[in-house]
Amino acid sequence: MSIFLPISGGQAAAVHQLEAFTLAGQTGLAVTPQVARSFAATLAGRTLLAITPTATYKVPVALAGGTALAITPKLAGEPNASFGVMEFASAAGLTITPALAINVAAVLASGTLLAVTPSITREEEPSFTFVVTVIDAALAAAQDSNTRSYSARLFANGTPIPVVSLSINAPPDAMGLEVSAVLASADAAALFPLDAVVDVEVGLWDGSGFIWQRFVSGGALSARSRRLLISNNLPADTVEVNIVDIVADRWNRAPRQNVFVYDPDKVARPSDESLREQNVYTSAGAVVSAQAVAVSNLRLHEVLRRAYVEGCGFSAVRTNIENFPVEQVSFTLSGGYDAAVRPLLQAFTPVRFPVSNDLWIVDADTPLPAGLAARAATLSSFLDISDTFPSRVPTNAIIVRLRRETSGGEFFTERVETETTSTGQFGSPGYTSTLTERRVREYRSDTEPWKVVREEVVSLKTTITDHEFRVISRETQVDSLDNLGRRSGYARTVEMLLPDLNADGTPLLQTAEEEDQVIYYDPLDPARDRQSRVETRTAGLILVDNDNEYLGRPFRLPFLDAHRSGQIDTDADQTTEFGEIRTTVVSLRGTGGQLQRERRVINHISNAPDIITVEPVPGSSEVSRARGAGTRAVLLTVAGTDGRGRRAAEFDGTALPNATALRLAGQKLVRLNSPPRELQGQMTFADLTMRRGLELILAGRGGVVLGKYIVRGWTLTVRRAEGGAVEALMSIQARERVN
Amino acid sequence: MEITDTNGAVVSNVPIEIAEGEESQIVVARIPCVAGYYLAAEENATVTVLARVTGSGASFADIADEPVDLSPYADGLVSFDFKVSAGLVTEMQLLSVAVRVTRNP
Repeated sequence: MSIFLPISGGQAAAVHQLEAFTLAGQTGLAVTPQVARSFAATLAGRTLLAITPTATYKVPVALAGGTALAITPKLAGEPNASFGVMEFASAAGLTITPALAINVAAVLASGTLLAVTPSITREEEPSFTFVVTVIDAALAAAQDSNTRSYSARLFANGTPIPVVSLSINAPPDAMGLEVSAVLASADAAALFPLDAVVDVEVGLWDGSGFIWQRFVSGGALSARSRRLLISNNLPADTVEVNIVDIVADRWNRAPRQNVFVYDPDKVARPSDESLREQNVYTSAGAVVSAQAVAVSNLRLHEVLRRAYVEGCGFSAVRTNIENFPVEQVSFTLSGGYDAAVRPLLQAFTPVRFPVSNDLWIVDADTPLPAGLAARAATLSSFLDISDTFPSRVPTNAIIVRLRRETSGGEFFTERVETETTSTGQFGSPGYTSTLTERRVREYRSDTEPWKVVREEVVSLKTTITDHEFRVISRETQVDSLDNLGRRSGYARTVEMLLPDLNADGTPLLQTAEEEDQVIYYDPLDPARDRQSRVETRTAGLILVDNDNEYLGRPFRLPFLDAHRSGQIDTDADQTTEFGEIRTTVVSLRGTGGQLQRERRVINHISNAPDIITVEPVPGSSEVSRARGAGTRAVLLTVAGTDGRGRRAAEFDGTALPNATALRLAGQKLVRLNSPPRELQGQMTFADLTMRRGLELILAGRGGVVLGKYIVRGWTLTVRRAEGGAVEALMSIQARERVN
Repeated sequence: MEITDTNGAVVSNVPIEIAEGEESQIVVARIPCVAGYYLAAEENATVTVLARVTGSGASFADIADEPVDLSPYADGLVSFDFKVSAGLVTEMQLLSVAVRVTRNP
């Protein structure tokens, strides 16, 4: 017999429901709910059953022939205790009265020890949090000064190391800081052992001395390069060091063993055999066993707490993201805590930043309280502002991938990988840093959801910045897969720093090319999944040279080609337009191990075919289909989106509850049609109070408000300029707040 | 049960910047009141969260030291004025202080 016991509190919103309360062989249970989250139950015809689980969401208890059971699981200082499943076979006279602590031992009347390990779940209390920046008077006065002078210093194991230049980078979508520094003397490298504990400070002159602001405490050396050169017949050796902020970078940590946390009410416990497969062996032969942890009523906030507080060592996770149910999550040795949690969060595109030892994960589009003004920033604070409305994708529908409850096939979750590489010497012209963000789809089977069966890269974003951290190129490719798990094409956008003909050739980040690829499969043989045609359409910026006519019309050529070949002349009558450049069609025909591959390229600027090649190649155009897709697709349209759009975008909601996925997909559809603007600004001074997550209201010319933004990242470079003076350059990257 | 602003929007995080020794501007939030619950703030060595019922004319109270008993306002949505008072610091500090409606202040 299973009875669901609703408990009502003083308010309608405080209604809770217990899980199954199983009383084998018992009848006549009367329950008298009293106030919120506590009740007394009487077992008619039997000995009294009294339970006073103050603030307990659920107490699933199975009694077989039990008599005289009394439980008072009120834990001191913990308002909300969930005791998991307690089973008492032939229990008689059992009393549990834990006063404190998580582990509860109960003695049965027969004398057998029963160990209960209840999980403690904090009661969801209405709350909000002040994020307070307290600025010391000395720094505030120095920041307000009209003349600013800066300095920077490094400490290795407490020993000061003189530097020529130092740059601190707070990249978006990361939590720690990256520091690069060129040491003033090559000899200083000797003071920098590989295990040095590094502190980084930037100073601001207040008229009598420097006010030092610490940016990195306890950092570690991540790279060191030495350059030996002669300049003006004198040695001019340099040593560059890179430092990683290991304290803030704790989010990269991984568990000591593979851990699978799951909700036993929703998914089955992994079998012992599949757990054994996840075991790892040390070189000495000892086994590091995989662990399965059952958590009833598993929800996002509990997953975040386990990942970032228990796993990574933060004091608390502060988030305004809704606390939705989670079926399972895998903390693996290779992926770590963060990689396991990201698929649950990525749909919210949150901003993450540490405050003291708390980790903040903020959905930046929630509004500020009425009457509260964000920090005001005016044009006088900036040398250069680029306020970009990103490429808009007119779309009137979105396909939402939802996970089926029970399908017996495959489903997928996604993870994001990032890597940074650099070339050239840091701080010098020619230096570039390339950030690659790769979204990887992990296919899993319903029967063993903790194992990745195969992987597909579904999007790739490459951003290249120069020595002053300006974006010089950004390439985004989003691959699409159809319902059968086959590749169906991609959409690629290339933005580059190119001459702006409307501003005398001043470099401006512009959308240079957009490419759409569609892959067709042979419709006459649907069971074989044979690829028959690949069509790739490329559009982009076109240079129109009105001074140079060809066949009576202004000469036109792709802007990128004109830029590379030096044909852009800002004094000439040249303009740009965005249009079709070329279409490439590759057709595949044939069977029996040989294909005829025909490739045609049509140049839309000259209206002529460029290349036609026909060649026989060995091989097959057949692809292997994924095993029974465990997702279902829902087409969602939202009133007010662009009806002229003909594309249907895709939203992966497989990691989310269906209702949450549908709501977020609706938000994404609106954003595709009206994406939030991105701001890149180079400041006139170095603001030492800058941080990720800072709210800004930016006023433009004449005080007209340009918009509300949230800072996602920043860079600060302190270096010795020509003439010997020390200069500080700061730039910020921010995203428009939607609300 | 959620804490909202005067427009009914949910309040989750409130960014405040203040100089040491000063008080922030006042933020008004509507608190869902339940008998047996208290309005309380986390203890913090550097900043203090002060609150009072909006329009009461009462002086602000430190709700970490003296949580407000919400029982007299049970089943109501009551507006409270909040402000943050900063102590003295030797260098810039970033802090977070939670304000909760709780049974265990």
